[in-house]
Amino acid sequence: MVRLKNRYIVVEINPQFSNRDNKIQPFRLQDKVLNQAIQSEVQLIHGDFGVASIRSGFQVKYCNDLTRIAIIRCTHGPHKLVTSVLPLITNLPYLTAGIFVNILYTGATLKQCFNFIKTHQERKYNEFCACLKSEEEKNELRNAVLNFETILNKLTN
Amino acid sequence: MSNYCYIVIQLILTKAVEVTPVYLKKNILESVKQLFGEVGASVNIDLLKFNSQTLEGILRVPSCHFIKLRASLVLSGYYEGIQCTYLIKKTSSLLLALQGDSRDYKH
Repeated sequence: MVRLKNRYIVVEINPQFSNRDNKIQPFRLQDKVLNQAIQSEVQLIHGDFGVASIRSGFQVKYCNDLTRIAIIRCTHGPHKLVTSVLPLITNLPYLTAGIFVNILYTGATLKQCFNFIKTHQERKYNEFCACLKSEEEKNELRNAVLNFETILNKLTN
Repeated sequence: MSNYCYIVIQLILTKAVEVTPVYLKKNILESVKQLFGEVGASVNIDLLKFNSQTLEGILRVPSCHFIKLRASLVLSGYYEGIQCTYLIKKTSSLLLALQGDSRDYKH
């Protein structure tokens, strides 16, 4: 039997310019929009050939507005085309401000990506906690950053 | 052998128009860009010689990019809005080999 290998890419989508008070606002992140943005960038950089090769199995698996983390699935091989264009994406259709995409991790299974995100988020939480004073704020942040319900639902389905 | 590949092409048009080397090269680069994007179009493609009467020309391309260029030429369908096709007559890694081969030999 021949197995079809996939690659899951964990990306972080950051706004290019943060506000004056240095407080980053959460922005609406949709699977469909991110999917279209990546495909149009591949069309520009790698042409029709690139789009045709990534199209099978290409999917934005998970998007989190608050943490601005997304997981992209693509087949092994053409994932190199996808990873080569991700840093070149500078804006999403509905956003006025520019964005930049950080590739955090490339894994072979969704579980590996999940473990990575978990440790990454815990590290981020500890970093942010240093600035916060009250316990309520800490709990609120913890709920926002370490909310894995949607991804767990996807894993179990 | 050499690092380059040489291709003899002929442009076949459905309607007779004046073809200049600059427009021909633009058309070739556009077809490469359509199929392989910015990455494909970033490679040096040179039009060494072009005869505007017979519409025949010689292209030079790095050997690693030869297959991509050939594929783009095959899939190119329009020249300035006119239907066209590129006929690939000869290919070689040596320019001298295009001068004459056994196919040109007359008994």
